[in-house]
Amino acid sequence: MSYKKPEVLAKNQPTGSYSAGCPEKTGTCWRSCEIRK
Amino acid sequence: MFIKQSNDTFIRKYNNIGYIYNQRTKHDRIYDETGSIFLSKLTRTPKNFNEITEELQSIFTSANRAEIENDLKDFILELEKDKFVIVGESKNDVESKDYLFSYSFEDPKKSTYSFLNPEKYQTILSTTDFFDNYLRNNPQIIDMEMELTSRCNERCLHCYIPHENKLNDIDAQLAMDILCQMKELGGINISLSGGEPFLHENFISILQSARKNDLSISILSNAVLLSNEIMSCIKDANISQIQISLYSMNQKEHDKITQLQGSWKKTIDNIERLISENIPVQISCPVMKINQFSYIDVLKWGYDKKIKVNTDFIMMGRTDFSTDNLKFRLNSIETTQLIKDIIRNDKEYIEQLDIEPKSNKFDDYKNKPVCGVGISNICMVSNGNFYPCSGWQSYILGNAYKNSLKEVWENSENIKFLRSITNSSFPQCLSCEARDYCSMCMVRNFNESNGDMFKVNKNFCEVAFITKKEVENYKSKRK
Repeated sequence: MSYKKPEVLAKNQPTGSYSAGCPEKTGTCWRSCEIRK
Repeated sequence: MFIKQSNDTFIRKYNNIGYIYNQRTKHDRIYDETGSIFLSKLTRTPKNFNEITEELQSIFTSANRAEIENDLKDFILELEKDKFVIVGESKNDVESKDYLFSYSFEDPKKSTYSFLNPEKYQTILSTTDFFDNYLRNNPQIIDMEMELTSRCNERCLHCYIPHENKLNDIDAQLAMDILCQMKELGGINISLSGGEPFLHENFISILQSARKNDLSISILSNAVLLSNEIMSCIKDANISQIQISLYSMNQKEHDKITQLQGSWKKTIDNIERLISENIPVQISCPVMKINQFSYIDVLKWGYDKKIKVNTDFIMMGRTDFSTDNLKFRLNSIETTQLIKDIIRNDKEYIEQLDIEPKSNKFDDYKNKPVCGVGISNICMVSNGNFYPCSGWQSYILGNAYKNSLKEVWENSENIKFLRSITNSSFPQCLSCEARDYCSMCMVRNFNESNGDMFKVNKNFCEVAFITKKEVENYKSKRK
């Protein structure tokens, strides 16, 4: 397999982290499907 | 040098990318194909640097050892900075440095959002933006909710599951089989819910199975039935969090909502026990007419206890399309007051108001999915049915007694249809000036309109315009 240095394609940012689920939109940052109970 | 994957870190390979995620800090990172192979060599037990180098050299035969060593060192040190991996001089050194969650940290709930600090802004793509594009073309199960039982010891007034349907436990063997399938398909986050999950007699076995399958575990519960045995197993499982419903600091109000006398005291006592055991707790506090004046005390109590409290006031109709539970929903005047209160009291909410709205990039926005159902999320309930999410129980994707998880994910016609839905499927929303303030949700449309997911519920519009007005008021006064 050919080799190249490992590269970061994306990381958690203030503008978005998949794992934190936030922020989606201004003022509606709750993921309401996760706080439904 | 010895290296290990931290207790809170999860690693997956999706096609030609690698994903690493920390359930405590919520930091995550996506690597290219070489990075995915480097990640695959990390383990939960300490490993010698030379051993990893040799494993990589056996794959990249054209590269020389010095080059791989240098790149691996950079790779490991970068991951160490964000606590994805632990590095030390010996195996014991590495093990001793890998800490577990503790409320003795200065502010444990804050660590989750530390990356919101503007000092850490960087030019690299965010994981949200990357996955928004990637998952559209490569649907991948990442999150799954498993309803272990529909039975519940409480009868919450606003609950979206009809009380007469709260009868079934999931077959424990089936649940464990699906958890294994989820791991094989690359899933990471499992939410064990109900009903009340502690009512399932095999809750502990199912929890242990999730741990064995290297899944990041969340539990949704009212905590009333938390026994010492269950708590000990939760501690051992190093869960991501237990989310507990607490409606008020006023005992009578809480018990009136749950319709279970004495539930407030048991829930509060058990939250305290979980904190004393350093198990991460998050409070869910749906707000409705009964607790609209007292929920703020839950926010304050949580803040003092270093617990994050989420409030939600957009109630969902029942899964059988009955809507009598919605009589407890806040009206527009009450909603306005609530949003003002949140802006005044929720510091984390304020921090997030300054972030640029996603939908500013309009062309990209209109082609995005509305949410992650069928793209990265799925739900399974106690009778074996798969649904898009837990509230969407009149839209069946398949059944675990007849289909494997893979078959449902790849072949269900209903899931394929969900994947075809984007923001542009709601044209009236695209041109709406309150679009950035709206949390429109298809299942809430569906349950309130006899099954029409495209009929936008007017409550969303009302709340979005109220939110827009109050946020803009706050921002103009701040200037």
